[in-house]
Amino acid sequence: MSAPPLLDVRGIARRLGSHQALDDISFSLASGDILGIIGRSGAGKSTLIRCLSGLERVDGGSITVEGTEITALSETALQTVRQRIGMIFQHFNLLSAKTAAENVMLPLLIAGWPKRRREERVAELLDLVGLGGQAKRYPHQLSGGQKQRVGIARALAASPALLLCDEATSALDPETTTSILALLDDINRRLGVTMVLITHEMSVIRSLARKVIVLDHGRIAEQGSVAEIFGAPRSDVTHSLLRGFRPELPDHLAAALRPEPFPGSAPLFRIDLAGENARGTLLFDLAQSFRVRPVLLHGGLQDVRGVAVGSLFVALADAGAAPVDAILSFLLGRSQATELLGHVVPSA
Amino acid sequence: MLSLLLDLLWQSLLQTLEMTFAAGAVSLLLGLPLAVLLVTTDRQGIRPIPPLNLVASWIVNAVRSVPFIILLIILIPVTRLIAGTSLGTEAAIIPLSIACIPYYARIAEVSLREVDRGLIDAVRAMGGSRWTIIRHVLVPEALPGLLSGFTVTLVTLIGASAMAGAIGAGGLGDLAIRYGYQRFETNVMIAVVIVLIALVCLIQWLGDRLAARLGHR
Ligand SMILES: Nc1ncnc2c1ncn2[C@@H]1O[C@H](COP(=O)(O)OP(=O)(O)OP(=O)(O)O)[C@@H](O)[C@H]1O
Ligand SMILES: [Mg+2]
Repeated sequence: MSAPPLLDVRGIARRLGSHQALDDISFSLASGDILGIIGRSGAGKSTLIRCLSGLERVDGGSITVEGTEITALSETALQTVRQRIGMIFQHFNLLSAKTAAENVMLPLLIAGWPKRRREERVAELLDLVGLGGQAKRYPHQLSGGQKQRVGIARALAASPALLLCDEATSALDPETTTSILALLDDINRRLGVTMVLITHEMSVIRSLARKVIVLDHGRIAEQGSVAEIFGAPRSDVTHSLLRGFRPELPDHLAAALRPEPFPGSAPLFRIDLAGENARGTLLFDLAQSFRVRPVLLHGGLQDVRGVAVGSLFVALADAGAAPVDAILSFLLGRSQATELLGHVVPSA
Repeated sequence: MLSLLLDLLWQSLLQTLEMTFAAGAVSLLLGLPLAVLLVTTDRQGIRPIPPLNLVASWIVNAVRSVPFIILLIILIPVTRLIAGTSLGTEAAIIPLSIACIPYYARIAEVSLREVDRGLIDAVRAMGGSRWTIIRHVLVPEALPGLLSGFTVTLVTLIGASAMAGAIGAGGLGDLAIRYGYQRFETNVMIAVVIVLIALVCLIQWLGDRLAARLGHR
């Protein structure tokens, strides 16, 4: 079998006041993987990520990091485990009284590195994040993007196995966000660091995550590969979170939709595609098998981490005699998900 | 006459400075740890020990609620025990310190509490011990406030040391009372006030400059 997971979470729960912030959360993460956690505000994302490093205690369940079960550890015993975990924050949380270099050095000081090696490592890390020349600057002398780079260098200083990012790019402009994401991606590739990212921005998930967990009211609404989630979201929360990131039926077409067939109408299907089935002869095969004329009304494919993902809105003209049920099951076999939306005039 | 006045002023100024800075140093040395204790053992602190927190808080409140002039008298036996006498400049340092330790502790506590919790979390998350958090987060991040608070404490001490004159501590306040009040030598009184104003302004100016230099914001 494969190697044991780097992070294994089993049935954790956490109550905050009278609010059940986390409820029966289970997932595991292999070494080198990148997990994105999305959810509405207040869903419990920050609480979850804080539990993973023991900053927040759990009421039940277990969390295993690199084979160590952490939920029962004392604050002192946790200190050793935390040296294997790096954390990045939305508001950077850099110490204002320390320079960039001193901030990056602190985890090494905690880990007890000798002075010479500390200094070499800090220089190396600042170069890695592209801040070689800013070592002696204080946080207030740096831009938001530069501060986050210091935050990343600090999180990586003691070579952690796991990097936790809570809204790492939410305080940054789009361009800076892109550069920070590219840096994180590069770090994952080069150093093989496992990452958990929380974000409101679906573009962050799309460009960085491999697996996705959708949290809703403290529970996992759904989880899967990023292509699965973007390709064919199953829960309502995911649908609403991904609004704008997936092709939607334009309003004028949606308005023309009727639940029952009518003279001159054609059934309209939404076909969600991902990976293999997104690139192929699907529409041609459909026409051949059922003698229908597929009319593409709307749709789009996008690249999600190297996987083609998207949706097509296809009306089937001349389907008068063709069995809709058979067509549906044919499409279900060739797509992530297919839904009969209603009936429209195909040429409209 | 003038040289006599200047000589008196100079001697008194030295005594005031001795009392202020000696008691100030003690307040800083003991008040800051007390403030750290108040913050860290709090229910939301990094080492919650609510009973200890409560006791410390009560003691601080108790000492702070007694007017200084009364504290001076209550503490005469303690002062005698430590200094061997309850009279004189050195002896006055003891009640001044005891009054100012909780005073500075409360001021410092406010600054320490203002330190962003996110910074404490960041250092906890990297595996920092409680001592690391105190040493690298709480104190350095609160430093400008701790310093301004110390300046306030010193200025308060100058005023309190004048009251200590009542138990024969000497100093500028004592001079003003003996010559200015009891002997109606108004010019001595005016001279003392001018020196006091200059002294307070100087301390405040130095404190502000230092705090500004240490604040990296
Ligand atoms: N001390 C508390 N008492 C009661 N409820 C709390 C407490 N702390 C947090 N909560 C609630 O727990 C829930 C989870 O909070 P959390 O910060 O994990 O959400 P989040 O998903 O990170 O939200 P956001 O996207 O806004 O950052 C929220 O609904 C919040 O109101
Ligand atoms: Mg949050």
